[in-house]
Amino acid sequence: MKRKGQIIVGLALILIFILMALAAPLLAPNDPNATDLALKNAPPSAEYPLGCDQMGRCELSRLLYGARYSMGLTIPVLIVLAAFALFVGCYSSYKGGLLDEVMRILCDILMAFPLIVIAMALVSAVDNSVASVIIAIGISMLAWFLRMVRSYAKTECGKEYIEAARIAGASGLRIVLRHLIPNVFPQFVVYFTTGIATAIMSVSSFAFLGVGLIAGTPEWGAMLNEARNSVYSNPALLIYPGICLIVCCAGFNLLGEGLRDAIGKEDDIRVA
Amino acid sequence: MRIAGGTAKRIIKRIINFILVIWGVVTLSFCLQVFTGTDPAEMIVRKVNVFATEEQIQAVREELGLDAPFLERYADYVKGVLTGDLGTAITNRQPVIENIKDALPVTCMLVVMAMAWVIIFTVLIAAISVIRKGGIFDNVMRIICIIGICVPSFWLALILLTAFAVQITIFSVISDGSFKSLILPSVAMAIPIICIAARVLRAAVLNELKSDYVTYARARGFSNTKIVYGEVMRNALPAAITLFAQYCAALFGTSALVESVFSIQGLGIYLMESCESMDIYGISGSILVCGVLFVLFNTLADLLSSAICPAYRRKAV
Repeated sequence: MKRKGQIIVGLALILIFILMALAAPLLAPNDPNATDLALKNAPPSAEYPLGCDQMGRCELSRLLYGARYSMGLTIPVLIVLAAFALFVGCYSSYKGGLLDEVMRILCDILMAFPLIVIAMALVSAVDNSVASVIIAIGISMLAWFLRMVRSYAKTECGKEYIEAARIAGASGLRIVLRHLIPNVFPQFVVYFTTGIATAIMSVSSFAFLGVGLIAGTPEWGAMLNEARNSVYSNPALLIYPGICLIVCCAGFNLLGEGLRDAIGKEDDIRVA
Repeated sequence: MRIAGGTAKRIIKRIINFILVIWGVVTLSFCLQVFTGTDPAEMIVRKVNVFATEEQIQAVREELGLDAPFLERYADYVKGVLTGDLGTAITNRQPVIENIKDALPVTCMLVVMAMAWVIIFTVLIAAISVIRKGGIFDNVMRIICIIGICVPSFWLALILLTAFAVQITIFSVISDGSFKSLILPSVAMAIPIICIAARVLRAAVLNELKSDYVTYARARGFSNTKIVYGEVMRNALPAAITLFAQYCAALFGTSALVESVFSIQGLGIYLMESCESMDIYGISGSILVCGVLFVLFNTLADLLSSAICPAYRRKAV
């Protein structure tokens, strides 16, 4: 029952991070943005459990608030995208024809650009804001979601129950909604879960490069970026945000992989 | 005869697809120039003279062809791309293509080294895991790979830098582009990919081991090792090759993360610097290169897969 353990551990980790994000103001011992240069690189103490960063800000409070960016920027966006991709992908691969071909090529074109490249281009050429980051995630992940939904749906479309439903006189929309989507759903949930992990890592890598989020934001990637200057003075600052990021992604990956084993599929394709 | 016809059709479909996608990539990079909120002409003029008049800006605009009709600009851009002219960078007033040519070699070197690690370790780990399935190595590798997938490359780069350049001074903190200085960055890039690819290849090989031809080879008395390396790997490789190609191409774009940690003046850093100075020609040029590389690698992977694996050829595009 290894997979059950994986799912439970994954879910538990995800819940912890969601709680962290929601209850950050209650849990944080200090204001994440209050600077006190007297406490620069201070060691852990009762008031500052993980010490302070290079600006004298409470490290623990910043880590807690960091969960808000990782979770808040990815999960809501991806849920909307997933719902859209599930419907459009299934419908278009059921209908086939020119529309489907056009969509396939559009996905291919968008997938040619790594997510971080899209984000950098949008942020600098259009608008340096969180909105650009969200749009970049939206464009890139939508292409990958659509592609995966299409490939799952293509396999399902070849099966007999779809044929049977068609012979029974079900309309195209009904077949898609009542037959295709429920059967594509389990595989897609697996992909979706690991997709969240990818998106969280991407948001942090944007912040690491200073793309989209303003400097000084308590985000894990941004914190790592600032900690770069203290590799000599306070290497611990590199460790904490990194561990948060890894554990958070691990939660989603464990859940996704546990689910995949549970439904007995073995594909493992990720957003590059 | 029927099979030959299928192959020809497949190749033609592949070529059409390739051309369409490349065209789309070019169009998107052009769109970026059109829909940008910045005015390149104003930026160029104001760089030299802060109090430039509207007439001076207008003159540069005309020189760059910025006020030409949309379709004319598009035609000019496509013509430029086909002849290797990506415009002139706003930052250093050099042709963008020259800037990219300066930045590309070190990134190529980095990607090649990273992919070398990836291929060597992925095949080794996957093969040993399969041959000794359920053994200690397999289980330890499984756990390492699950953790490794979640490790961001830029964090790994920082940790490697701290460990092997700051604490133990084997390598230098700032890379000078030599082979030795690229070891740490390429390892940082490679490890997360190895972790994913090893799992994919392992799963693909295990899946392949269930096939009839393996049972037949066993019945003929071939050893497990010989079956895995000689027969199964060949059929399981397309899954890994596609993945390798995608990661390899993506590395060109995401190299900025690792390059910025090690101060390597590569393509990723050029893209980032262009973004910081809002050099729209630099940005669209470098994302065009990233996109075209991705499509090229994907197509090559597809051709390679069909060359070495007969079963892959029979699948539809």
